[in-house]
Amino acid sequence: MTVEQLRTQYAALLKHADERDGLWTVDVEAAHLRALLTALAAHFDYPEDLTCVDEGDALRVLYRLYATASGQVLHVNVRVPRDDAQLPTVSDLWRGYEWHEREVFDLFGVVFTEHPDLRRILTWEGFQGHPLRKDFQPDADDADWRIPEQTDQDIMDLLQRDA
Amino acid sequence: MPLRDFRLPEFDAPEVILPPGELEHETTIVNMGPQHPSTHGVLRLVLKLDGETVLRLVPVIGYLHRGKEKLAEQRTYTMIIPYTDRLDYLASMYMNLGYVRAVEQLLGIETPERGKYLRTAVAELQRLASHLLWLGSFALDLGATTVFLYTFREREIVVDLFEKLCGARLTYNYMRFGGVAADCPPGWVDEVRDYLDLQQARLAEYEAILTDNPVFRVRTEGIGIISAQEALNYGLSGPTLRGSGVAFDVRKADPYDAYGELDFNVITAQEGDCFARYRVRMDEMRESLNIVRQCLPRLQVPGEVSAKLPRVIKPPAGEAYARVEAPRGDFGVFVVSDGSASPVRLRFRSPSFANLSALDHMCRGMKLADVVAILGSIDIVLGEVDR
Repeated sequence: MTVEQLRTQYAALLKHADERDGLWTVDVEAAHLRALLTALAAHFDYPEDLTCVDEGDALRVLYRLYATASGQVLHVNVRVPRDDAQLPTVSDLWRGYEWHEREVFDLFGVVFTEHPDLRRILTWEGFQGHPLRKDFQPDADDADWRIPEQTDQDIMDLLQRDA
Repeated sequence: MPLRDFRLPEFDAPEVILPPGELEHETTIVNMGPQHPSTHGVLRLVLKLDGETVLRLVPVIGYLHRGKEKLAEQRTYTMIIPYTDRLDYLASMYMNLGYVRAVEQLLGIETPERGKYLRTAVAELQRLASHLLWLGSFALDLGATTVFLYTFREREIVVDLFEKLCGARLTYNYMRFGGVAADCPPGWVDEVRDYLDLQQARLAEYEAILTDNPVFRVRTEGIGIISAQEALNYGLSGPTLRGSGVAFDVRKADPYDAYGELDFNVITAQEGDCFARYRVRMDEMRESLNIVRQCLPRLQVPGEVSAKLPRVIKPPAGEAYARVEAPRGDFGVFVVSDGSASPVRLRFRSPSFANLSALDHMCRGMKLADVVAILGSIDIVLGEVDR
């Protein structure tokens, strides 16, 4: 596959596609993300990274995929509004994204719909806010950093669910 | 008796007669950690057990989360280097390397020849030190105390070598944009050569204790199997991925520093169990010795070790993603710059985080005691998982 093929084949889904120094970068609307990634999953078999950048007016979620057969790297950018940050999960296509999506949810507040277990991962249950957003105030006067007593109810629910 | 025929002796357990239908579905929930000697740091596991068999395992992480990515947004580029030391603190050189390579990409600078070879030699010595520590603690987890003492004896030599380079023994802060902080002191190359010869012989000693040890084999063979396809799908990397037969190594796939000019093999094993991961790491150590040996003649040639850079670094606006093959796998650094002296966003893709996410999959159906072996075999460092 070349970046031209990618562009023509998925023209309806892509907003923009280019290549620089061997890295393919594509931009996609949130509505088409799931369709595009489902189509690409057969070729890009390795979920290398998933992260997010706070760009002020929007949150940019970046999927970095790698194809072990061809050695090609692909960056998929998708922008979501910060007050209604929602994306469909792709953790069923790549299991490795399950924790990465939890991390982006925890630190940026992007909600991945249909995610099997969308809980905070690096901060604790009951933590307020999403620390890697630029408007997060760690030194606000009313901030309460005491860690609440852990009930583990979320984990117990999880273990009960697939009994 | 050939090893493969070895079986633990059968014993006559008294027959327990249970009333039909009872106790069949009784499950136990066991908490392990965050303070537990075999979780290698502050990892907590919640296990659902049927007798001794693991039905489900839920890792709970974040106990060591220090918000490094957030902190970095308020530091200058140079000030961030020591922060990266504290990610994977058993392979600080590699954490430095991944970060400086990402910023080098933004700046568009090249490392001088000598700097490249010094960086590569140091990186492979770091891999040796890290794998030695892993080997010792993995054997200790399985009850073999001797190996731990042996490997720490040799790791000490590497740590001494690093101390002579940069003055520190754990958090080195040695890599710089476009090179390293300081050239190696006189006589350092000879000391490295002596170490390589010694280590080559000592590796055979460790193997004599472990590889053909029946107890070690029974504890690791067929334990924690993950197939090549599943390993890729989980985004595993490093020896954990190569132990499942996938020959993905960033040093070959995306060569950096001097790796493109060196001759070495990517080690794989097919079985995908704990023993395969052990064998991959053992052979990788031999390859590392081989790589360092190839670097040494180039370190006899004097030259610059670092590119000239202004005191305050302000990379042009843009973004860069660099990855290196750290001892635990594919360590990626993503940096976004707006042209100011601090990054807008700095992201660390830590291999241990992805490797740990497959632990539940590897442990299901295994015995509780095997969880310790499997966790040891994927070799996580919590500083890097939690960041």
